[in-house]
Amino acid sequence: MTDTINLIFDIGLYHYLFLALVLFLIGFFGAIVSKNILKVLISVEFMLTAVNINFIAFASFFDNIHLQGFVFSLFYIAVGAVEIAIALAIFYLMFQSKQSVNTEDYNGGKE
Amino acid sequence: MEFFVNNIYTIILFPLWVFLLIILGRFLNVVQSRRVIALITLASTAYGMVFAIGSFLYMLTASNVPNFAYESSYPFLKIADYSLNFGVYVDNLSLIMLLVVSVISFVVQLYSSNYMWQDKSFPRFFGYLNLFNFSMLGLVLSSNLFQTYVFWELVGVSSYLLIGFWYKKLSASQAAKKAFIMNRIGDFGLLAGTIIVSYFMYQYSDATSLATIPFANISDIGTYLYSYTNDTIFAIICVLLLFGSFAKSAQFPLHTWLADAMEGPTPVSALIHSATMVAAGVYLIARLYPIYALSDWVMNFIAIIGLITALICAYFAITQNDLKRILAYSTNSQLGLMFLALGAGAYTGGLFHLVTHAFFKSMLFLCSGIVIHSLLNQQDIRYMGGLRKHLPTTAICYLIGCFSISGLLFSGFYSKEMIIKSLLENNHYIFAIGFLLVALMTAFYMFRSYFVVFEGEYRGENPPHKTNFILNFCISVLAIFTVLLGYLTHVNFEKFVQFGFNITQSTKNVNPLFISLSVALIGLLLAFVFYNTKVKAIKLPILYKLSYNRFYIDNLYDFISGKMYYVVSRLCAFFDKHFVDGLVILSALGVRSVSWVLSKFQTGNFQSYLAYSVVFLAIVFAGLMFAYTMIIQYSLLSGVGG
Repeated sequence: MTDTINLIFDIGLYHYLFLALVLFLIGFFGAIVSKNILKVLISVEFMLTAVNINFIAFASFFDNIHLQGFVFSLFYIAVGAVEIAIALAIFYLMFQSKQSVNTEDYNGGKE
Repeated sequence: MEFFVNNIYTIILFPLWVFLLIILGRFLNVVQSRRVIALITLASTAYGMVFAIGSFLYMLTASNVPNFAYESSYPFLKIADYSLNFGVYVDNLSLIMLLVVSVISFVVQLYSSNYMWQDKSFPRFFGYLNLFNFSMLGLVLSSNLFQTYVFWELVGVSSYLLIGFWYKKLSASQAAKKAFIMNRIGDFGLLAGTIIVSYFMYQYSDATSLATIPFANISDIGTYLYSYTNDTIFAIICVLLLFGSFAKSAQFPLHTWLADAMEGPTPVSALIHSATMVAAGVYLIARLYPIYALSDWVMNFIAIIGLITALICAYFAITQNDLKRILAYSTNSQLGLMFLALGAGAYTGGLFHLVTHAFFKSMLFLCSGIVIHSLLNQQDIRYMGGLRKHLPTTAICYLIGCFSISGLLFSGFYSKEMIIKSLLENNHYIFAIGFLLVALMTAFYMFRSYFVVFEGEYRGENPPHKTNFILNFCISVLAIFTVLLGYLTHVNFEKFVQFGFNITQSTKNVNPLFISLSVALIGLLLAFVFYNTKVKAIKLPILYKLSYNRFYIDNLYDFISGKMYYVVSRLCAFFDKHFVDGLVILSALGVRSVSWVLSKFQTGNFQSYLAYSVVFLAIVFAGLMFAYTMIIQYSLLSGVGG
């Protein structure tokens, strides 16, 4: 019993990785099934966050000296923000032509 | 005189050079004038004629006349110890043939320079004539059987080109195709036979130089071949080799092409399809005589085929109405007689008949050319008649030819007499009877054609044109040859017509003069009675129809190649359309259905693309991890490391 409790509450690397996995899958399924284009963007942000958590978890458990994972995740957040800005700009333009936020109208991949 | 023999190879090359000059010269604007073309052609042939006469005189003065031989050859293809030579081989046989070919070529070229002057393809015609001259001289002078085969094909090609000279006429191009295909059948046999003989020589004989089958050692080759094979294989090889001769000389199963070959211009018929090329089959048999003579079976085979051809073609000639066709079947029948003579051991007689026949038959063809020309391309003898008054020289020459071919007078008398004499001396009585029957029919159909064309009343519509001096000169030259050849050869006969091959002469003394002359005279009289008097010819409907339709052999071939081949080709087409094409269509359908399924994945929706890519990545990673664990397990088990 105490072992199980320890396993649950004694926070280790696997907990972080599990959290990241769950976040990633939520983001993934959200990106796939959302009908609203903005929800897809939010889901992509979920996936980015999950990856950042992975970086930080590995960095804090294995690399206490250089903290490269932390630095890298900072860069990653910045890059993610830029990506989202570009994606928003694209979606804005597409919205102007389609007059819709429904993903089913965004089927230009066929052409 | 030795100079001529040593440089005899130049007479092969000269016509080739003139041929190239004429054919290429037209594009390069070097040679365009018809006069120049005719002159250089005649010059090249005259050059060959001078060399042939010079070499012949040298042969006569040589010490070893019956066994005279000169060979000079150079390696053409060398594979290990096997060397294929190209060169010239000159002996009595090739010199006689060379004389015949060059003299007749010269006369016919002179004739056609006048006869074909109006034709707009005059340069092409002379180019082909030179090509033929080149290949025929090469064939006559070739030093081994492989070289003979090469030139054998070349004469076939030039014959094809000349038969189909007026290629815009459908019948001419079809006749050319027929001649070429018939000859191909024979050439196949010749090539197969050559290769088999070469194999036996290379494998078993002591000297590998015999593998190229040089004519200088043909007796040795025959002896070796006979000792290394059994009777069946020897007979098969000989029959294969003979097939080349049968096709080229239009013998029985393959005889149908020669009559159709008359679609070509008349000078071509005179040169190629009566005197020179069709005699090449006889020439090849004479060349390989030491091989054939070893087996009685093969000799009888040659004789029987020759007899069948001679009989049926003489029979066909009786009822034909086309003047050139009569002469064509006559040629065919006389070639059969030569085969009969060679097969029955009348070697000298057969070859002498070849020589005399070449002269009088080419003369007869040239006469028919004049007749056809003066009647504006009328070839049907039913619309001729009474032409003796309009074309007296032609009529006299034609009559000389008729007398000669019937064996009544002049050179034909001597050669036919010689054949029947040796037939009786060798106790071939059945062949002799067949020979006399052919002689009877020959006299009949030749004098029939003479009486119908030159005697009686003119039955055509257009008045006959006058002929000119050159054409008359050409036929007169050949007529002089026809008259004199028999006497000339009679003087010094045994000396140089032995052709280097000694046959045991029987001591039996027979004199068939009376029988053969009376038989030919009966033919003449029958023709005279039926076609030059008021007596109507007796018509036997069935026999007439059989003869007129040539025993329906052409129809049979037409049935085999046309109808039966059509059925087979329909089956093949069905198979091709529904089975082979079906496989292709099936595979196309498979690809199409797979791509149809794949195309369903392309929805255009980026979310589904995202899903696919992630699923795919997941599968790849799973596979990689699986492989990684397998490698680790394996290395742990085998203790390599890990």
